[in-house]
Amino acid sequence: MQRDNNVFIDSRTKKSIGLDEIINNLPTLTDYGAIAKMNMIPYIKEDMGELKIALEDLSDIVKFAELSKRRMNEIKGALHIIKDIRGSIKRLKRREILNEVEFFELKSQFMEIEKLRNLLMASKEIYLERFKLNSSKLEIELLDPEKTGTKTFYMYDAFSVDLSEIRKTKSKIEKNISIIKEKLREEVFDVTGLMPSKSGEIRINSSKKSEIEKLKSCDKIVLSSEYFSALVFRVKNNKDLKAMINELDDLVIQEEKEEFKIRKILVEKLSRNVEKFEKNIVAVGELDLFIAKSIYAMAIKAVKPSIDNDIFIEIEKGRHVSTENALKSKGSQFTPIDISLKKGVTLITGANMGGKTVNLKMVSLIVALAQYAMFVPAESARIGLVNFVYLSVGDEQSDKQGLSTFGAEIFNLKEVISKSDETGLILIDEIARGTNPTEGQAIAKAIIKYLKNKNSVTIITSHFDGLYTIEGVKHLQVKGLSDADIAQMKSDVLKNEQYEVIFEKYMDYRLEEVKNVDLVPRDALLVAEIMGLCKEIIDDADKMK
Amino acid sequence: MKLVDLIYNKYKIVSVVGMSKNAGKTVALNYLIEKFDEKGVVIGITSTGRDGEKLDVVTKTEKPTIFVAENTIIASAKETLLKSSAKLEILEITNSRTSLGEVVIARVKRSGYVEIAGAETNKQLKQIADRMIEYGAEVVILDGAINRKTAAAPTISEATILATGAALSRNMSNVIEETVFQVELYSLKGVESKVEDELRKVFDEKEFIIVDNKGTRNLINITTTLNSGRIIGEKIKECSRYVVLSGSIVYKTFEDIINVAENYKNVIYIVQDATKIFLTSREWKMLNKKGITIRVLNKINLLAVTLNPYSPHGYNFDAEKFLSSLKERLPEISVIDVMEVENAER
Repeated sequence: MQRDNNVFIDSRTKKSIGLDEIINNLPTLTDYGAIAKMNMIPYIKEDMGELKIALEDLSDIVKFAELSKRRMNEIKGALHIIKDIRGSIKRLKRREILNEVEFFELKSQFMEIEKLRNLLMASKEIYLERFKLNSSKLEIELLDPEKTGTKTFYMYDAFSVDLSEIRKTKSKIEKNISIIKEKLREEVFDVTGLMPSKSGEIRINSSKKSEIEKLKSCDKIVLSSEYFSALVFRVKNNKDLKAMINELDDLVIQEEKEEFKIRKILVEKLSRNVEKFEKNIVAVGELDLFIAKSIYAMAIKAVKPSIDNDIFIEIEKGRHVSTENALKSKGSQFTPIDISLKKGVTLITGANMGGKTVNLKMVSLIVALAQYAMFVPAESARIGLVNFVYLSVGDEQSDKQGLSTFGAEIFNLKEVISKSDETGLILIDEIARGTNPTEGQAIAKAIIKYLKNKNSVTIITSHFDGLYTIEGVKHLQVKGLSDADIAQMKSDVLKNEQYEVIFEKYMDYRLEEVKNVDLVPRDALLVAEIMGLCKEIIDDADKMK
Repeated sequence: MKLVDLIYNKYKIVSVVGMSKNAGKTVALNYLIEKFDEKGVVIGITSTGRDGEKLDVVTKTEKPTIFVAENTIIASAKETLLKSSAKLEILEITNSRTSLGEVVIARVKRSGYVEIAGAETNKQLKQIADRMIEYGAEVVILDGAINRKTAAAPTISEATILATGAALSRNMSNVIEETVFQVELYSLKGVESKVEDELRKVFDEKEFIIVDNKGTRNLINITTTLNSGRIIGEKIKECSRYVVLSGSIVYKTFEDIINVAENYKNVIYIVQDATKIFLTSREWKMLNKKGITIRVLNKINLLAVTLNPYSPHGYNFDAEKFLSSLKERLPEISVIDVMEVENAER
């Protein structure tokens, strides 16, 4: 099977169960980590071995983060400063001559990764195979010939004897030039009585005729520009000075040539190991991503799922985190759910507003998280790997224009039915609810009968009575309002409290297995009554049911 | 007092802004650089947008490049930085991106010429200036680019030097009028200190509000003052006291307010700082005559006005007359002729 995100889980489902949000919010610290996050691919059945290792590695990181907070913070600090320099690495790979800023990027990244490497080597418990970094000691030495130990970069004199010689001569000439210039200024002052500025200029108002005459007759200066009412004279360079400036210009050219030569040598030497740097970048990204996963796991009190090859799912006290957070912000609590699913079909029935849809989302999210090598929000979870996750909640907009709810449901089901033997997790909320109950129930029944012998785990929720009796189907029921204080609920409604808050308070969201079909409680009328539908209708309906 | 003494040990971040291009801002900047070098003070230099170019792209007149001494810290976009003749030690690549690459902070190892093109937003400019101080700059000079006086914003620089010069107009008295007007704007009074904190929040949220005499705030639901003068004006009531305007203001805003608000004279208009006011001196005078009162939240600390009597267009003013006239009109502020100053300070 092709390892494609969309084959495992389609983007609509990813969004609907909250997986997208979780992945996007993984708090990576570096661009490399962000790239690793974007490229995350789910592990499917045949990757079980790799997934187990990845989860074990994540477990090591979580343990380390809990036990060695200070060292973990040091590692995060070291990661935090690592910038994305793939552009420079790419140019290096193509053996382009890099500039000083690019050498700076390389040098500082080598030093930063070296620091990270030292920290990891001192933290053996998390220095795992996938995070192994190559040492860049030699490269650092190459880019730091004066052993400054700082991340900064300069075309150091120590790069070559020639460079240092050229620069020495340059400095000497520069010094001589300024001495001569100073001398020339003094000479002009002696002759004209006016001191040229440091830049060698004399500015004079046109009205000062006698001074101008004096300046004009002085052979050490020349008229350089004329304004409306002012003249500017400039000190002339003498022969010595001209020769020196000429020499200086030559030296500047030589220096540039030498610097180019050095840059070329550096590129040649560094480009030999470019694959090593690329591997380091991948390892940094992996480490960053695993740390981000560990932060998320700790934040939502997630546990390591245990992975199996059989076709089953067992979740103890599972939670759907975004629903849990939404409830918490309203002052309510999420009821963790136990659920155990085997190969074949499980039917869930029960009260309206009994959390059936959220439970489907919870199961699919937990399975998907596990297969993306993340911890899961539950007290424990045993998961048999699947090759795809399919969720139909029925309330989404149809992908295909012009299809009704029913049409869209069938359109999607068609495809999933065709691959139901390839081991998937198939979740269908309120199957066939969009059509007439007689045919709807018949279709639902046929689908259940078809799927119950396939190599997938299927959950179907429904209000149809006729599905209870299909053999070989596990039947779960939301406990719902069976133990609730109905009188109290009604009085809460009269107090004008919000319906959803009231139901959240009294609803028992837990699932229990139904053994005796005759005892299946029906809550629809009760819910209608609590919500205050007129008594006449309620009584009438009660007689007819 | 010499210009450097007005700054050194008093302010860490100083902006140099020009009245117009070629107003002598770069001359003023080079003058400061030289004087600080003579004093042995390590400075940092950066700019808003691009500056220090050999050839001004707008007028094609030659502009002096910036010569930087050893140890100076500079911050400039990667592409311009790499063109420097000065030899640089690269210290940091900042997160500020410009069209010429990221802004890079470097230390001058061997003196030479540099081009400076700094960060484009005020916030980044301030962050970079702070980093340069961390790298050892004792004073950071912010070079405000052509027509961009925002570097003077008190949220960025602690003190400001205004450069003016003959390039502004052929007529010396025009130059003097415009300069005096700019100084007047930069000297606008601040608000009462007890309302400062509350107003700061309004500006942080980029809101527009009217405060009445009971202190009640009335939000005006607009996103800019441009073309919103009428809406603002209609909300000004007899009991209104302050009109707080985020963002920039132009003449038309006030024209529209005056057109619809009977009580427009009875309120005080508050802007964030003087760099947000876009008015000509004529418009400013008209508003004053009509009884508009403007105050600022953040006052600009104007240290000095530098002048350049020479225009690159080939004319010049009588330097002495220009200097003495400006000094007479601006008795409270140091006025310095950067072209003559060397002889004067000898």
